[in-house]
Amino acid sequence: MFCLSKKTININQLKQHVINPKSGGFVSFEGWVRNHNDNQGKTNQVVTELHYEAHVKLAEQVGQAIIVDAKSKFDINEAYCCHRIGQLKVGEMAIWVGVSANHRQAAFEACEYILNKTKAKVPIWKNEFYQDGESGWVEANL
Amino acid sequence: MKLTLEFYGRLKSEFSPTPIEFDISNFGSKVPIKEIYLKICQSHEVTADMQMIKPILNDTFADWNDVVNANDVLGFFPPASGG
Repeated sequence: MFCLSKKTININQLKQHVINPKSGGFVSFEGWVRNHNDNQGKTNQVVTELHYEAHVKLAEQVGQAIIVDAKSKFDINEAYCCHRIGQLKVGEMAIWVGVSANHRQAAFEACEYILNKTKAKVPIWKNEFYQDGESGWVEANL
Repeated sequence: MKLTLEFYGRLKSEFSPTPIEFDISNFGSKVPIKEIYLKICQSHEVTADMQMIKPILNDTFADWNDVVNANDVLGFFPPASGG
C-alpha cells in the first residue's frame, strides 16, 4: 500500500500494515528533513523547511504500482510506503517505507527498491527554503 | 478552443505558479501536445526538454504526440524529487 499524508507520519500505525505472522524479518526506512543541502550550484545551504507538492491522483497510482511491483520481484509478505506532502520542518519525517518478509535479505532489498523507485518515479516535488530567505526546487537526487 | 495548462515543481517557476488558459484556435485541426509545449517554451524563453519533462492529459500520463481537445487540462511534470 502507498499513501500520501498531510499530517505527521505515525510509524506505529503504519507498522500494523506490515505485520504478518509468516514474517521473520521487518525492515523500515525513515527519510528526514535535514538542515543543509547542496542545490543549484550552492553548497551547504542552511535549510529551514521543505514544501512537498504532489499530483495526488498520479502519485497514489504510481506509488501503488511500485508496491505491487516490489511484491512480485521480491519474496516479501507485506510492504507499505507513506510520503508526506505540504510544509515540513527540519527533523520531520518525509517518507517511511516498511517491509516484512520470511527472511531479512528480501526485506532489505525490497525496502531499498521501493525507496529508490518512489524517489525516481512518484510525481512529488521538493521545494527547499533556506535561512537566507531564498528557495529552490530540488532536482532528482537518486 | 481553449485548454488549461498546469505546471508542477520547478516548472511553476519557469512558466506559471497557477494554471493558465491557453488558446489554440490558431493552431491546426489536430494539435499534438508537443506543439503546445514547444510554443510555451518559446514564449517563456525556456529550453525545451522533451526527454526530462512528462506530459499529462486530464490527469493521465500522455504521449507528446497525443492530440488535445477543447477544455482539456494539460499538465507538465519535471523529474520527481521526493524522498
